[in-house]
Amino acid sequence: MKQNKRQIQKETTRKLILQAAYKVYSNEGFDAATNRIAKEAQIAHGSIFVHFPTVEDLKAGLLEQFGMDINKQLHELSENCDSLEDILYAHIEILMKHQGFYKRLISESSFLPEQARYVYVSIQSTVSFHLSKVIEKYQKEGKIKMLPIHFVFNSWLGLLHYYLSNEELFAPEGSVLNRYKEELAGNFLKLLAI
Amino acid sequence: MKVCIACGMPMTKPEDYPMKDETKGYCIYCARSDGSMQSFEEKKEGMSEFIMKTQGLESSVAHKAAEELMRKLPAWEKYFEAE
Repeated sequence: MKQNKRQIQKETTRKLILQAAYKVYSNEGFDAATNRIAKEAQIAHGSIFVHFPTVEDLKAGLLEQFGMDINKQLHELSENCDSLEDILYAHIEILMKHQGFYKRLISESSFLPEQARYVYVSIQSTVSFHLSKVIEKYQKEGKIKMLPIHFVFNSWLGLLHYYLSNEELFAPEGSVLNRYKEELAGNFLKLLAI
Repeated sequence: MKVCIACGMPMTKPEDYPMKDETKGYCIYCARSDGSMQSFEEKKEGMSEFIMKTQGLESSVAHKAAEELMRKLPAWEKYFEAE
């Protein structure tokens, strides 16, 4: 259905608010005030609430959009990965692209509405979907240990999240994932190998 | 790009469709062996099992997460309308 000018304008402003919220929350955390987001989007403060009646609605809308974007990117990147190593690197690459926001997501979940928890599960499901296909294949071929898939997945996530949450200890300057990606992926594969 | 109406997975190649039938709106993982789409209960159970198996979530949390993920998908709209 063709949208009229008013609908297009509304959609454009909504996108602008979400982009600004993504930037402000990435830099300042999820407790940042909405007037910071309005300033970033260069719109009147009240406009935010025309599109998102409450801050909770804004956060839920942002998380939903983030979930859709990251799932699409993960899927596209993992689709052509045949090896476990490729999938691990594809995962790191996507997280590096969204590092600021993802770091807030894993460390400040208490500032987020309940709905956000399920967006989080949805993001991890896309990763675990691609990872589990390769893990099962490798286990059948006798290339890696017969550990439960969820344990392999959670160990990998735990490792990444530990380095991300303590970035200032591991990489005070620059991206911790960029600096340690070879060490993390390489040694994780060695731990799994038979 | 088409996205599965029942699970949200992007469908980019014939192998993503049930029986490689690209006219279908749902993916191979949401189809039964005869190519028809799984029911709401079948999909919810399958998705919950997948979440438990690959992420290790507790059963009731996995079922709730599956339901919340399905809530946003066009195939299951009518199941949530009454709420």
